[in-house]
Amino acid sequence: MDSALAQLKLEALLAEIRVDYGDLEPAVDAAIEAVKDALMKIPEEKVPRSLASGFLDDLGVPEDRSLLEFKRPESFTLVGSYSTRTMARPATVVDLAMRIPKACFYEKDYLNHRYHAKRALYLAYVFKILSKCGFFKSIEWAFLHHDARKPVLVLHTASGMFDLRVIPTISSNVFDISKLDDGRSNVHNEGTGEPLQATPSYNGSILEDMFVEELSTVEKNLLCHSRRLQEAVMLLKVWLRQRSSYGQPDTMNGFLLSIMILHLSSVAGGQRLSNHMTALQNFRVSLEMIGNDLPCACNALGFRLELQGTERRPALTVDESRVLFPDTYGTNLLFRMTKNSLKELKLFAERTLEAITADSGFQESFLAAVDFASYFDCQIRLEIDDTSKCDFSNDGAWRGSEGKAENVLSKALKDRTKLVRVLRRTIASGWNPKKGLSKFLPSKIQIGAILNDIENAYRMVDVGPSADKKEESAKFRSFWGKKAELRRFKDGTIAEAVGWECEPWKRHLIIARVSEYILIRHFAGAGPVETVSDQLDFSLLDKNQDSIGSTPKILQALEEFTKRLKALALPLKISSVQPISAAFRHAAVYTPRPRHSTKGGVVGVFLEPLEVMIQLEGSGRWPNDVIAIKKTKAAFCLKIADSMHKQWHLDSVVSEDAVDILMNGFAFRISIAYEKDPTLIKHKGMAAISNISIKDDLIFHSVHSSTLNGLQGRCPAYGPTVRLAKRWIGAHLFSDVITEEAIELLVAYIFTRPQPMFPPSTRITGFLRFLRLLANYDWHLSPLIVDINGDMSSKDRETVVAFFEATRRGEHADFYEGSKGPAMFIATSYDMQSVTSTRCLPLKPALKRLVAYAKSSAALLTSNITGMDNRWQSLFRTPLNCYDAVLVLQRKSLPHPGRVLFSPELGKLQAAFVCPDVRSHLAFRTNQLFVGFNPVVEFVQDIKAKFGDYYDVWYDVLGSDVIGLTLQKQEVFVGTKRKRNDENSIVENLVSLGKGLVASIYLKVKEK
Amino acid sequence: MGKSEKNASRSEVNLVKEKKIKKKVLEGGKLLVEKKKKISSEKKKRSLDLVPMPERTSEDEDGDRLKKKKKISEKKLGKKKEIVEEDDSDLEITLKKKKKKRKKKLVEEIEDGENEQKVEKTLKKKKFVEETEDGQKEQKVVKTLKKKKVVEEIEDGENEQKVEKTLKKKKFVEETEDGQKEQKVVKTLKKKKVVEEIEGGQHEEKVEKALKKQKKMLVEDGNQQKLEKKLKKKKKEVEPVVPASSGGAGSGDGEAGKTLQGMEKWIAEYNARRPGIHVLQEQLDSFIADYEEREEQARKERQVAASGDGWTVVTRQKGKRRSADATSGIAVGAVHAAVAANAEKKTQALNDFYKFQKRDTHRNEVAQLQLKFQEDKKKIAQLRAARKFRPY
Repeated sequence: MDSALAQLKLEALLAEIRVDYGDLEPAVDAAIEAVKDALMKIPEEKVPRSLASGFLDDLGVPEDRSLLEFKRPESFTLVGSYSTRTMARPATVVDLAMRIPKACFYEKDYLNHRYHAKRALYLAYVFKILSKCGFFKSIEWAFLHHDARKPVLVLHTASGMFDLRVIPTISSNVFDISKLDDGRSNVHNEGTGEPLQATPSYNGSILEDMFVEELSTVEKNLLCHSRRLQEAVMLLKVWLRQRSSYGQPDTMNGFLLSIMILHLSSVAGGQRLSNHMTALQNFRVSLEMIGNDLPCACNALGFRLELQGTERRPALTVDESRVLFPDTYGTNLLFRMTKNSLKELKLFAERTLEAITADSGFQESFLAAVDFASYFDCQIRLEIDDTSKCDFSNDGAWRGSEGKAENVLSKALKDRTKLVRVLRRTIASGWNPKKGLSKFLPSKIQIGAILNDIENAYRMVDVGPSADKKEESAKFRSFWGKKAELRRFKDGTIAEAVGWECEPWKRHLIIARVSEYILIRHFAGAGPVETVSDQLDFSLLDKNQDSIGSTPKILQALEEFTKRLKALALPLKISSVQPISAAFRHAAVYTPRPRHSTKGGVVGVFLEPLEVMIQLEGSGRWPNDVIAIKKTKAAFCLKIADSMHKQWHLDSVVSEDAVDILMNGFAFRISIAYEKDPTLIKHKGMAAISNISIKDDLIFHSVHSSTLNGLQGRCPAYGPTVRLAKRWIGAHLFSDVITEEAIELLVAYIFTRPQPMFPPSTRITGFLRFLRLLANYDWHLSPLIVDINGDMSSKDRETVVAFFEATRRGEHADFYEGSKGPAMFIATSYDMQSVTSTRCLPLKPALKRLVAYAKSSAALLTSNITGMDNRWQSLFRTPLNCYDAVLVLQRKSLPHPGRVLFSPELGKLQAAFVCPDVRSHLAFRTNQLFVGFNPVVEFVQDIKAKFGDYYDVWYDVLGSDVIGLTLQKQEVFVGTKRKRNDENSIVENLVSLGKGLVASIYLKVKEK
Repeated sequence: MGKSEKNASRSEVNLVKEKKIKKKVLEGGKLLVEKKKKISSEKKKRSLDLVPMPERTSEDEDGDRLKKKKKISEKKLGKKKEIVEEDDSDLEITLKKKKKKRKKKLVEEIEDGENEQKVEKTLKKKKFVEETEDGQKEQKVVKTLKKKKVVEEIEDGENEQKVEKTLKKKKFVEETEDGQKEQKVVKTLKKKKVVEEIEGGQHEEKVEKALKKQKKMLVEDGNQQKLEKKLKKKKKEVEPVVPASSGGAGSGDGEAGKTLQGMEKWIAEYNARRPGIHVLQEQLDSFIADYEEREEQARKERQVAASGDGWTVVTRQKGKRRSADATSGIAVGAVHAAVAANAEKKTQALNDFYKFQKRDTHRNEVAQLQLKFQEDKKKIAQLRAARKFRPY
């Protein structure tokens, strides 16, 4: 990321986020003057409790402890990002610290939320006065870092240029600092007799107010003159903003980031950052600190703020999940952070650093959104009823249940996950201190989990302690409840265990099952646990069952088939047999099921062939002529089929271009690769590209197949993701827009280049990322380099990019369909020019449509995952009103009527033809076996032959019962010609073309 | 394109000559129509469901086109061919609609059109005939006009029919079609040879062989791909007939083949492509056998031709090439590794020997870098315009 290009990109990014302070400054000054004017004039009087009654009740501060005499603020200081010139758009909040005079507080007000109560009262009074002054458009209540104890005021200016945030502070001599140490307890439940608990977070919330101004001054002094450091802070902010945890109360924020930078550039922090380094270098070093050494960095944060003298040690034990600094005695600025959020930050930083290389990493660091829906593999929603009573003791009870959920789940899932993260709830806007908090807290908790490797994640048994260890066993039992049982294992040990046995193709649901069970067990009275796991599985069902279950049978059959092939006595020996079809590598949407012949013949009519490539030993007797080679191959295939029949009694269905041998209920379609085949020419170099269609390019297929098979081995979620992606493409009638191989490569890209995230481990997350890739990638300006085995050198990449740019300039036009190269340029190590998978498809207008669909589907899927929406099926339901004509097919004529997902929603379309009698279909439904025959494809070919010049045809090869037609917008057809192109006659033609298949035809209603 | 181009060009010629011939046509038209009717009825008796239906329709279409041409020519004479073709289907449709009203007129016109064609063809002699696809009919017409050379062809046509009949009995349907088509195509290219060959062999088997020979030539021909495309196109046109005859459903009537559409058609096609392993095997075997034979013959011919001048041509003998030197193990034509390395070193060393060389390379590098920087800048500007740098 140090190249000149990266620098240019960085400049562009900074230009987008930088704020023009020259414009802002006068406006800010004016606003502050207005605030001062309003506040400095008013009389000092007693503030009535009614101004913040609801809030004070929530805090549990009695009336006699919250008497406040209003005194005018001591001072106003600009703090935060505005003062240090590190604001990053779109956030334009100017922080104004308003110091409350010491005279407002008693010495012991740090106890039992009394400080917080007075602070809120004071602020409520300010609110009252400022809302009268009329300078500001509106004033809103908010919370500092989502801490419900600490309300702040947000003043919206009329110009909308910025918002002014008023943060009440106190001077550092108001309370005795030693009483506010991490280990002290300052919230006493008097009379309950419960043992005292340390209240580090409570203490921190008071200390924070005491030091904000002081820290801000130090920040200002350093950062104001160091442009590079300012930029580094801004970059870190952008980086963090793109991560899912941004805005979470328990993680880093802009303030902490700038403190960190401050520290790292100081002598105490080892001067790791400096103004002499570029912003990017500073950014990178900071990330390294977060990734490797954040505790140390944080530790030092405390050190930086070390207060004189008194040695303080935690007096009480502190909750385990807190971030603490046992060895130093400074103020813990990270008092809101938990160990889990620290871990999350660390993972973010690590993944980002992995992505940063000499020429990449910019996109991953600053522009890629790492949000809740796409970052986590598993999303769980838990509805808890814990907000009815507001208990503020240490952070608030709701934070307590969030922490508990995190702990319980982490413990239950153990090494199944890399990270379990509960998103902290935030208080909804519209709150004011007269009202209680409870109504403004959402009751749903969002939980995300990142899975470990699949072997661990989808383990069927959780083994507990052995039966001898009584104590541990008891713990285990109490944790798991009824599910725990004693089991005897193969190695003879007897141990407590929890079993999650299920069918192999339902293993991806184990995580959901475990978390559902354990959450319900530990949260009595919790609402239903929703998990995002199997919501999209419906789309892959064939006759209500996932056909992937037959994959083992297929592989077994292949093995036997190979054996038998090799045992044949043929003129040339078979040197290798290689599977080609996607069904062999779990990537076919529908895996063929075995069809067994019975007495009456073969049961079932349609069978999809499994393609297998055969290589023969070398021979000098191959002809030179293209047609002759083809014929010779066909003859050889026939010979093989014949021998298979004679030797093994295997039947076959043969035509000249497809030889299908039936075995174990499957049909193996054999094709022969001949190494001197003219198709090979293109592999000799960049310049020579042959015009072989993808179907015929066996060499491509064999490499493609084996490479992706390897990927499937490494990432088991690859197969299901590809299946969903293919199904989606089909469901939106895009079968003719993009090749299957291109889809497979797109999905492979997600798995091979997942940074800044982890490779997806579940199908839904994978599918979401696929949609986003499709929607967001800049297809026109950059090639997509899919390096599946990581064997492309940087030189290779450069060649690809150079080649791509050349095609976009219009060179190499003869290789591709479009003059500027393929609309979608996907380069792999075995197809650097993107000739095979995307040479012809998709075309540019079709790609545009595809991208638009992907965008809306991605948005819908995101809101489904986050629980804002629950329309999972709509992802695969395609709108039919955008076609000029819609042909609905007879289900009985479809090869697999069980694969139709929905009956078409025709809405306002106007019926132009309805098939009067859905008769039986003559020879069609007899016992004849059709191998690789799809009437829909045949029909589409016929339509194209006849109306290809007028209409674009959109269809689904997998199993929708609709075909869409759209009129090509070409001037040739406008005017008199179009008029004569009478719709009725077209409908008539379509009906006769698709006799026996078309059930009805609908036309778009014309707008008048 | 093949067919449509021809049609278009044909009708264009018509247009040009239209005025001149018009009178003649009007007079001769009726006569010709009558004659043609006779012929077609005769043919019906003779030909056993063989006259492919699409050809008939194409003839009709020709008529349509001509009528259309007239209309267009009234507006504009030199309109593009393509558009005319695209409107064919429309025209058909409109014609159907207005059928009742204009039926009589239309029939006349169509027939007129046909006749015009025929007449012209006779004028344009053989060349034209060669180009027409529906050779049979035209041949009949030509027959009536008594051109000597063409008579041979008609015999040839009859042969075809015979051959096909017998072949069909053997269920060589596909092959026959291929043969038929290829025959025609080859005819247009290498007519003379074919005719001779077919004439020479009245026997069925011989004819069959001849068919294969034509195929052979087909392959041999430089225009292979073009021909293939033509074949494919033709296949599509003729295909609807296949299921009717092969399935035994059609009783020889051309109309039955025409109506086969949708599911039935696709299933029939599917089945037609799968006539059984032995049939396919025989076809392929004979193809390969022929291919080899042809190769052999071509080789011999080349030798004969070359040695005709009294020279003996020395040709490379087939067989395993010596790929490596027996003693050293170095591949033939390869350079010894040490030598190669040495050579490389030399060239490397020479690159920056002189000062100006160094200066040049340096200058080039700088220029390259500058160029790249400029390109990068352009790229960034593009991205920026597309708001690609906005992180929110």
